[in-house]
Amino acid sequence: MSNSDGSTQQTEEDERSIQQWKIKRLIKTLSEARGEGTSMISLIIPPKSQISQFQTLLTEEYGTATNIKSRVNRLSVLDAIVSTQQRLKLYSRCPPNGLCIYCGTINTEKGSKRITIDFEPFRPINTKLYLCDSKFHTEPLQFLLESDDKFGFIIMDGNGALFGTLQGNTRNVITKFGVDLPKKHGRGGQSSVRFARLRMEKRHNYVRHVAEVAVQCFIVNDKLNCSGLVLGGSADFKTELSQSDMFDPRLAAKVLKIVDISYGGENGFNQAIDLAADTLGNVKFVKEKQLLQRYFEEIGQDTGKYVFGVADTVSALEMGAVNDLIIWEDLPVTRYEMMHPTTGAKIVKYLTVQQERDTANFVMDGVELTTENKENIADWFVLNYKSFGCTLHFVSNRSQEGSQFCRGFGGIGGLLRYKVDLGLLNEHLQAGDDDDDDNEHPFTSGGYFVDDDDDNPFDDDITTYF
Amino acid sequence: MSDPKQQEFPDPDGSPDIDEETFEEEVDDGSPQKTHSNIVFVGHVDSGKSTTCGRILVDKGVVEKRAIGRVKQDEDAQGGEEFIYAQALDELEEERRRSKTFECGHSMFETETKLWNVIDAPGHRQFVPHMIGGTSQAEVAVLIISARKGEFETGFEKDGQTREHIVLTKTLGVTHLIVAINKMDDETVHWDQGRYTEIKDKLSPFLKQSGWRPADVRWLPISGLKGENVLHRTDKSPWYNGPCLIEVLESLTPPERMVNAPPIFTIQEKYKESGDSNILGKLEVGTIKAGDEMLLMPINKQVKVKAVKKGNRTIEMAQPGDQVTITLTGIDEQEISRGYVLCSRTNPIHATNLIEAQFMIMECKSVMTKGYEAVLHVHAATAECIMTQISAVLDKQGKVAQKNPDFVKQGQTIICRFKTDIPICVEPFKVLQPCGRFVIRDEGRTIGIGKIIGISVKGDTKASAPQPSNAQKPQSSPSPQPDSNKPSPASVSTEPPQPKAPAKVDDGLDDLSNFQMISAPKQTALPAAIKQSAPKQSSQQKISIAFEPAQTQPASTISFTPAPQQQSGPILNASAKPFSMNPTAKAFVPFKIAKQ
Repeated sequence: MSNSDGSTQQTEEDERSIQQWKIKRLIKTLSEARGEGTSMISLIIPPKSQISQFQTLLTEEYGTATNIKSRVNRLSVLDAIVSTQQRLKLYSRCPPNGLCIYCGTINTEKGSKRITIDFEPFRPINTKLYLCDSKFHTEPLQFLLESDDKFGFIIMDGNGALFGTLQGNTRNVITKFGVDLPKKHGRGGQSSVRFARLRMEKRHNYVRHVAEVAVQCFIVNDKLNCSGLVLGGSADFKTELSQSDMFDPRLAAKVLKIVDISYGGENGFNQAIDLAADTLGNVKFVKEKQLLQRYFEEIGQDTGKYVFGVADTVSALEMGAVNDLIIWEDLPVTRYEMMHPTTGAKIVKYLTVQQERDTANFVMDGVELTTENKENIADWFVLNYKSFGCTLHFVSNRSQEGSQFCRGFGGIGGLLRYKVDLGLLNEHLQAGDDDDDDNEHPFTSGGYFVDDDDDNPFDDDITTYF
Repeated sequence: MSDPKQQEFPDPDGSPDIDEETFEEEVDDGSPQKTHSNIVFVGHVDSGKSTTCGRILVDKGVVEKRAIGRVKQDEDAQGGEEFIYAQALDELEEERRRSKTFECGHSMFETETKLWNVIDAPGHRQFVPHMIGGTSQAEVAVLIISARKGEFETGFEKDGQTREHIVLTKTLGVTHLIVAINKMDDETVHWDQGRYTEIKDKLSPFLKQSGWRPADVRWLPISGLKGENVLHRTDKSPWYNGPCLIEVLESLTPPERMVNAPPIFTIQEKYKESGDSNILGKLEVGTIKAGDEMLLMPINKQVKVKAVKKGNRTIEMAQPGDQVTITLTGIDEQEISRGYVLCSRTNPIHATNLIEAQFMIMECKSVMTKGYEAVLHVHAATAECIMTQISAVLDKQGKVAQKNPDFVKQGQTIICRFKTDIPICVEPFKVLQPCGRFVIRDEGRTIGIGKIIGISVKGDTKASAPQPSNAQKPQSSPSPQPDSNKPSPASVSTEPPQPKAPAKVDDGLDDLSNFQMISAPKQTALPAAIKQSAPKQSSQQKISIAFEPAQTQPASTISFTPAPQQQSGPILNASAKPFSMNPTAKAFVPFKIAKQ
């Protein structure tokens, strides 16, 4: 981010994206939590409500809950209601953006655990909700994750069409389908006139189908569900579509840009986002790309003002050299604060999921280390990044650059204020860097090999801890 | 970039006479069959590719008089005298309307000794994917350059298609390049020798840089529109008295074709005609004739060849290198896709979604790392891919300069892996060149080119990890040997896969030693598959995916010794031979086998 243009606004925005990330993480945890019976309480209070009203509601509920037959369930529900009441008491009046309270006993691997979470959303929430269930209800919070603008994309080429949306840093494919259009042959027994006619007919049908699916995807309740549309395509299809009568006028009116792409499918989607970047303006996805592009340029020009990998980044942070800290939002690395039981020395390690399985990482001088604190690295940075004097940026792995950043650079890196020779640093710092020794691949001599590269933590499903 | 393609086209003084002799014996419709060659016209947009093609076709009388008349009329209606000839191949309405080729046009013409299959590629940058498909089918490329003031310069700029096409032709297996400086009649040029040499001087270094040896490149000035120096020599250029375009084409030596190999047919297009599924494509190696029972990969579908057609003429047997239409039975047209491969049932091509490749990065904004997403083109197939691993950076000699780099940059040659979203039919470059070279493109640019050095056989029937030792031992269960994937850094540095020094022409010995270890498992896999019906081989459980266990010996072995039931060293070698690319091997005297 260029510091020259309105740095206050910049920080505000960064702050908000961090907030958003926190909420995202919270929602994820909450929605995954499961409890016994109906003891999980979700309470959402819209702005300008009377707290006392909800106190009354809870008291009434308490009364109802005493009638629950099952003893275990009754006790835990009553327990949860009491906790909620206590928590509500801390607020004398409703916060300006409303209030959310989640309370209940969740089952974890290590047995059940009581949690009570209360927070004020960073944007006004217009929902009133009280529910007792076996899970927390986070659906009303989803809107917090959505940034203001959502853009629809229609990507069509000779092989098929793809419908997607871009919102914030989320790139989403709604649907896609393939199509078989006859190519020009210049041979084959059919008369060329007839063939040309068939071809035109198929093309026409294809355009019609795309127009119909577009309505299904983007028109909800007679209204466009996004703030603009981008059409991308190779050849004439996109123009044909935009000018066709079959294309819904409600959609046609909202076409922001028509871009030329050379491929359909996901690749075309990415290219269309790229090409329409100017029009999309402040979408986070585009900003993310720009940030990473800047980062890659630093690397490409070998300015030395960059850092990547957990170990290097942490040491650069400690030096105060990092200006922009970039973290993949789902980075599967855990920060361990451990203590040497005999010397009492404090050790901090950053371990990936694989490294966590390796007990050697928890042993030093033959003694097992005691883990004092265990936290996801991203959470820790959210709490502590300010003390390093850097700006924190979360990125997703959905863009071309993001994908490379996560897979190639380990999902963590930073832009530095000045050049740092990390070769020296590496010698005295042996933290849990992504060691690839097990994954080393030889050149396959015979030409055929067996894919054994399955346990890549950056691949598909990522487990997160909280 | 790579060299060993020359094995397909041996030295120009090979003797095509033999071919013709044998050809004449298997004539099927009265007219003498000529050597089939595929030629593609490439070049920047509006350089005159279609016009030159059209001119040849019209002058050769391929396009009917009546048709030309109609074409001309159409043209008059839509204006532009200049585009008359281009209409011969630009058949689509929108192509004519915009005077621009969108898809590859196909046609044929004959010269004295050859039958030319013409592919007219689109020049517009948006249609490069189509151009790749067309070029992958050709052995000879005519690069049309516009001499008109300003047009050459635009085409040769950084984003001009002249550059991209030159690189692509070299990568996609074209062996002879004819650079035709077109529009010499233009009023800004007037057959000026200065302009001709200027263009030639500017282009030559780039051609060389792209791996084109001067010996494989011919130059000539033409006027496609006026037909000067195309079919006949012109008197307009006293400074040039070399052969005209057709003469140049005539003088080219046809490539050495591998008749004896198991057939590999790459599918370009498909269509349905009177209930039958027709596929159009190129037979890369081997032969195919009506009645053959074959396998369609990667969907593993058993099909039968009903008829083989060249143009509109039914022929008995397709020879390697032929562009033919094949009518299939046993499959619905809907199931077929461009990029599929028709191959033999006994020796099917591998279908995989993970390849290891030697990859040259030609264009990259900043840096490239694992996780790079792009589009991969191999023969006619297109797939989205992601780079999953970069194992090494190679130096100019092909030695490993850096292992497991964090990132790589433009200009580097690397060893890396690509994972594709859909299975693609490929073979390592050493085994089958046409299915072993690929192009990576992203956002409408060619990012790099490469050749496949390894393919993943995980979950594949032929999963037996190839090992030289396997080939020696007569063993019936080629179970995947875990140690075959052990890191062998020593071999890495001493014998890099396919060094790219263009000077090195022949590695026949390499190939010979390679085919043993590469094709051996293929051979052993078959008996194993057969035996699988007796359920003992636990390690071969997956076998039945590609082989029908019940399928013992397909009746149609065209040119191929039936794979041995009992494994033994010598037989193994004999049957493995077809995969060798060594042109000197006896087995490759072309067309001999066709007589049986």
